[in-house]
Amino acid sequence: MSDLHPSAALPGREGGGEGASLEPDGAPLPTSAELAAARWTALFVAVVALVAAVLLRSALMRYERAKVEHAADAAAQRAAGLIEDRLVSSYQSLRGNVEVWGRFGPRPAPEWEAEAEGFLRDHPGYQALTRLHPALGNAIAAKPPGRAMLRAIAPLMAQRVETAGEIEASRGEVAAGPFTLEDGRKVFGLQVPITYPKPLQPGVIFAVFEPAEAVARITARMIPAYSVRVSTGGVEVYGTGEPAPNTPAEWRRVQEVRPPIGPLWTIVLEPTAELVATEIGTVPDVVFVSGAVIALLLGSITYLGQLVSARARALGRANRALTQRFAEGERARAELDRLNDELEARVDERTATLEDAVAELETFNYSVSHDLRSPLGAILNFGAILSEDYRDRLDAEAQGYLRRIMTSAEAAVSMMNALLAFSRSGRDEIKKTRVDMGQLARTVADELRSSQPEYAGAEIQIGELPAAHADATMMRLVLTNLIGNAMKFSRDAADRRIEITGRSDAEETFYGVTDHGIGIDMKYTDKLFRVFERLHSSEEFEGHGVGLAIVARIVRRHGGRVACEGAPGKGATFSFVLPRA
Amino acid sequence: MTDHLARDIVLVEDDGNDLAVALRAFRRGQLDGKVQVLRDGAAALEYLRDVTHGAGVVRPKVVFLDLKMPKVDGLSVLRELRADERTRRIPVVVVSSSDRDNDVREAYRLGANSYLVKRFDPARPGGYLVDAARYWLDLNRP
Repeated sequence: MSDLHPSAALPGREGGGEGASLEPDGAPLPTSAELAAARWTALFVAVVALVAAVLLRSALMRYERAKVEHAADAAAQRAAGLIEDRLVSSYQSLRGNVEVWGRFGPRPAPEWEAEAEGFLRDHPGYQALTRLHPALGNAIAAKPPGRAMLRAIAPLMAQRVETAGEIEASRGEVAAGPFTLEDGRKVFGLQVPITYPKPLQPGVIFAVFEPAEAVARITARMIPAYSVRVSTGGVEVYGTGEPAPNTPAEWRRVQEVRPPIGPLWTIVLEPTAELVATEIGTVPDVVFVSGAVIALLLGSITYLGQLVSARARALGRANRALTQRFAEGERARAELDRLNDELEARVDERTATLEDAVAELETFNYSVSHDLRSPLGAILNFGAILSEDYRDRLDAEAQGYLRRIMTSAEAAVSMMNALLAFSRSGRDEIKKTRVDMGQLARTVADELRSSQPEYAGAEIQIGELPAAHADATMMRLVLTNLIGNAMKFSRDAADRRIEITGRSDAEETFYGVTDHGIGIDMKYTDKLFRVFERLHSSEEFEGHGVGLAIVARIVRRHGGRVACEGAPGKGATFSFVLPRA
Repeated sequence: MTDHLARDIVLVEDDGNDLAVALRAFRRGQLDGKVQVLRDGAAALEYLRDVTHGAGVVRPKVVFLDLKMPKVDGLSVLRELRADERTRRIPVVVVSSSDRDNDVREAYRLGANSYLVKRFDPARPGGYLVDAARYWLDLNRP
C-alpha cells in the first residue's frame, strides 16, 4: 500500500526528466543549447532578411534606372526634334522674309528696319539684321546686344566668306560660325542674298543668330530636368542644367541634328541630379532601410519566438513530467476507488442479502403468526362452544382442563398478535408529521387507565413535552408500551406516580417515562429491548417481552435511540430520543 | 340449480372450522334457514349468476365472502360480481382473518360493501356474523 501514499502522487523536484530544470519559483527553464539555437536561428533569419533587402534594393534600382534610361531616350529624341525644328523654322523664316522683301522691291531703309525689327521680335535667336546693298545703302535692325554682335562678327564673316568661296555653291547663302564673342556668347552669321526686280542688282541680308536664345525656350519648357549641351563645329553653343554627378555613361544620350545650312549639330542630353532624385528617388533606399529594420525586427522576433518556444518546450517537458506523476497518482487513486467500490459493492451485496433475509424472516414471521391464528381461533371457538353447549355434560375436572386449553390458546393468540405488531413495527412505512407528544401521552394514559382496573390508581404527571417529528401511529405504540409498562411494574408499589418528561435541543427531542415501581437490574439492560426477553415470569407480570422491542425498533427506525436506567426496587426511567427533522 | 329459490344470506367459506362456527352462530340466531353455503369461489359465482338470471328473481340480501379460498379467491369473486350487471348490486361483506391495510383497501377498491376481520368472542363464537347479517336483512334497505 506504500505506493498509495498521497505524497507519491505529489510532484516533487527530484528527477525533473531530460533537461527540464525548475526555477526557484517552479517555472521550467530552456536549456543552454536551446538558447544558443535560438540565437543562431535569429541571426540567420536577420541575415537572410538583410540579403533580401539588399537584393530588393538593387532590383528596384535596376528598375528605376531602366526607367530613367527610357525617359532619357525619349527626352533626347524629343530635344533633337525640337531643336532641329527650331533651327529649320528659324532659317526658313529668314529666307521667306528675304524673298518677300526682294519681291516687293526695295524699301527705304527706315521702312525695312521697322519690318526687320518686327521679325526680330517674332523670331527668338535672331539678334540683328542688316541689309547691305550698294545702291540702296545699308540698313540695320538689332536687339540691344545685336549691334555690338554685328560689329564683332562682320570682319570675321567677311574673312570667312572670302576664304570659304562658297557663295556660288550655296546660291549665295552662307552660315558662318559659331563665333565666340568677347562676353562668351556664341553666335552665327547668316548671309542670304536678296534679289530685287531688274534693273536693281541683288543685295545681301546679313543676320546674327544666337542659337542659345533660340534653344533656351525649348529646353526650358519642353525638356526639363535634363542637362542639354548643344555644340557644332566643336564649340558648345548652348548648355543648360548640370548633369547629375557620377552619371553613368548609359544615361548619356547624343543626337545629331542637321541644320538647313552649315555643319552638323550635336546634342548631348544627360539627366540632372534633380531628375535622378525624382525618378529613382528614395524608394530603393527606403526599401533598403525598411528591409534592414525588418531584418532586425525579424531577427529579434525570431529570437523571442525561439525563446518562447524553447520555454514552451521546457514547460511541455515539465508538464509531461507532472502529467506522468499525476497519472500515476490518478492510477493509484483509481485503484483505491476501485477497491472502495468493490468494498462498497460487497457491503451493498451483503446488506441486500441481509435485508432480503430480514424481509424473508419478517414475511415468515408474519405468515406463521397469521396462519397460526386460524387454528388457534378454532381451538378458542370450539373450546368456547364446548364449554357452553356441553357445560352440563362436562364434570368440574373436564371443565378445568378445557379452561387450561382456552387460556393457553388465548396466550398463544396474544403472543401471535404481539409478534404481528412487532413485525409490523418493522415493516410499516413511516409517515412523519408533527406529533403533539403531550396530548398523545394524555390520551394513551387515559386509555390505559380505563382499560385495566389495576392501572386506574396510577398518578400520571405529564410535563412540557416537545412536539415530535415522527409517525403518529407509531408514537402512540411507543407511548402505550412505555406508559403501560410503567403502570404494570408499579401497580403494587407504594408510589404510583408516573412522570412523563421531555426536553429538546437544536437537533433532538428527548422523552422519558419514569415510574417508582419494582425497578430494573442494570446488568440486564442489554436484554431489555430484545424481543421475547423478559425479566419477570408471566405469573408475576403478564406480557410477552415484545413491547420494549417494538419501542426500540420504532425509535431506531426514526433515527433515534432508546435508553433506560434504574435499580431494583427504585423504579426505572425509560427514555428515547428523536431527531428533530 | 334453478330448482331452488335464492336465500337471503350467502356464506362463501372454505374453512370447515370457521364454517362450523358460523353455522352454529346462525342457528343460534335463528337465521340458519336463510343461509346458502358455498365452499369455493367458483361455486359462489355460479350460484350467484344462476339465481340472478331471469325476470323477477329474488336477489340475496348479503354475501359473506372469505378472501382466502382455493381455485377462485375472494377478491376475484368480488371483481366478477361487480363486472356483471345482474350481480353488481348484491351487498358483499368480506370476511377475512387478515387485517392488513392492503387487503382491506383492495377489497373496498373492488367494491366490497363491508369488511369484517374474523374474531374470537368467547361469549358468542361467530356472533359478529349474526350481528352483521341482521343489519343487512333487517335494517338495510336494498
